[in-house]
Amino acid sequence: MSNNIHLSTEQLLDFLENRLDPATLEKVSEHLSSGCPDCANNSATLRRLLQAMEASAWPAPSAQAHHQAVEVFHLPFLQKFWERRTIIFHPVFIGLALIALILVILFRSSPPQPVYAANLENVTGRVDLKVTSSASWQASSSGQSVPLGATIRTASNGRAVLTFPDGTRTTLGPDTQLELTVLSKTDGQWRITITQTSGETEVVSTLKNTLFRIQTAAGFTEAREADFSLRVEENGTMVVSVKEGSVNANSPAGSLLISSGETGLLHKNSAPTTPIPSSISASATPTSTPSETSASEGDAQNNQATVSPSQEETHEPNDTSNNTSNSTPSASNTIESNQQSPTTSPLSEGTQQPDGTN
Amino acid sequence: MDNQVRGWATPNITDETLISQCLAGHQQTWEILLLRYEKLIYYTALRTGIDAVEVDDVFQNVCTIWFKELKRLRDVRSLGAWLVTTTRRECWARWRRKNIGEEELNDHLAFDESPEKLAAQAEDAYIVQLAFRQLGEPCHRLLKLLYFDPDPRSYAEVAREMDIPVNSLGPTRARCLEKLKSILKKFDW
Repeated sequence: MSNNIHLSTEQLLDFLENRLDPATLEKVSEHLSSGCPDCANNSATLRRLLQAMEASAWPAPSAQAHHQAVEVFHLPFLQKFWERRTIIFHPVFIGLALIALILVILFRSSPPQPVYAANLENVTGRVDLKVTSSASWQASSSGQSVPLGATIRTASNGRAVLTFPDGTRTTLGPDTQLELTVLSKTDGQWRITITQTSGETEVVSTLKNTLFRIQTAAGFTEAREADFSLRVEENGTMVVSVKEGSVNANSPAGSLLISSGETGLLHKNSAPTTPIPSSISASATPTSTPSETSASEGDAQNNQATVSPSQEETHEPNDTSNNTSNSTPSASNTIESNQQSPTTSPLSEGTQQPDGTN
Repeated sequence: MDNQVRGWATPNITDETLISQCLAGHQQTWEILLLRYEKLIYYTALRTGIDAVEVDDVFQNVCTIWFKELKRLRDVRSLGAWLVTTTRRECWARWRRKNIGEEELNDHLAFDESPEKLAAQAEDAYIVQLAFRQLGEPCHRLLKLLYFDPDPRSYAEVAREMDIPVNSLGPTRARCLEKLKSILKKFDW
C-alpha cells in the first residue's frame, strides 16, 4: 500500500474493529503513522462514531429506579425546611410545636391515613392481575381491588376498566399491560401514575385536581380533566389521541402539547412530530415534518399516519350513528413491526361510558 | 459554541434551560434531564464492578445529589462529566466500606476514560441515535443488526439475515456508515 493513496472507509473500519489480517494491518498502521491528515481525521471520526453506537447499547436503569429518581423532585421542600431550621429554636415555634403535640395526642384516635386502591370493572375475556412484582399472575374478575404496585395484563380477547378513587376511569384494550405506580392524595390533589408497557388504554379523567400520568418507554404524558387514549406501538412509539381537554407528552427529545381532536406521536430518541388532527391520522393520510422528509425510506416515515386509537370507543355498541369514524388500516410499518395497527381501536367494543353505562 | 454543549442542546432544549425550568418547579423538566443522563449514570456505576443491587442504590443517591446541586450545576460546563465523577465517588465510597485490599480497590478505581470523554460518548450516542432514525433502508436495518442490536451477531449471521453475500457486507457497511456520517453533519456533529 502506497503512502500516497488514502485508506478507504472500509479499511479504516476493519482496522478499528480489528478485522484486518496481519499483513494489511501492518500497511494500514504504517500509513496512519506516516501522518496522513485526511486518513487520521477520517479514522478519528469513524472511531467516534463506533464509540457512540456502542454507547447507544448501554443499559438503562429499571422503570422502578427511574420512577424513584423522578420522585427526588419533591426533596427541595424538605430541604427548604431544614435550611430554615433555626426557627425551630424560636420560643414561638416551640410553643406552636407543643400545641401541635397536644392536638396530636388528643386526636390520635383519628382514623389512619387511607391506603388507596383502584378497582377492576367490566372484565371480559382473559384479564390477569399480579399484586406485586414478585407475585404470580392470577386470573382476575370484576370488582377486584388493584393495589399500588399491581400489574394488569389483558389477553387478545381481554378488556377491562380500571376505576380510581377520584372517579378517573382507564379502559384497557386487548393485549395491554400496565402497572399502577402511583396513587396518592395530598391536600386534595390526586396523583395517579400508570406505567404502560404495551397495548392501548383510554383515560377519562374528570377532576381538575387529578394529575394523571402515563409512563411508557418512549416518555410520559400528563393530563388533567381530559379524555384521551394512548397506544404503545411494538417499536415503543407512543401514540396519543385526545378527544377532550389537552395532554402534555414528553420524551427525552422534546415535549408536545396535544389538544382536543389531535393525535401526537412520541419516540424516545427523536423529536416529537407536530400533532395532527385525529381525523387525518385515522384516515392514514401521510404528513411530513421537515426532519422526516429526508427519511423517506427509513424509520421516520413510519412514525406518521397511525390509526386514531379511540375515536368511537364510548359509543354504544348498537349506535350506528356514531360509527362513521371507523379507523382505517394504519400506514405504520416500522422495521421492528410491520403489522402493528389494528383496523379499529381495540377499545372500540363494549367499553363503558364515563357515567358507567354501556 | 462548545461542541459538547452544541451536541447536547439538540434537538431543542439545552441543559441550562431544563435546569432553570426545573428550579422554577416544573417536574417534567427534571424527568427529561433524567432521561437524558440516566444511562450514563447507570453505566458508569456498572463499570466500577459493584453489585447489580447496589447499582440501583448508587443511581438513586447520585440523582438525589444531582437534584440538590441543581442550582450550582446550571453553569457547569459539562453536566455529564460532573455526573460521571459524582457516580464514581459514590461507587468508590461503597468499595471502601467493604474494606477490600488496596490492590483490589485500585483495580476498581482505575478508569481508562476521563469523565469528559465518557460524557461526550453518551452525548454522541444521543445524536447518533437521532441521525440513525433518518437513515434509509437497507442501511438502517444493516447498521441496526451490526451495531445497535443488544445481541451482537457475526458477519455471517447478518449477511444471511440481510440476504446478501458475506463478502459484500464490509463494503455495504462502509457505505452505510458514510451515509450516517452525512446525516450527522446536519446535526453539527
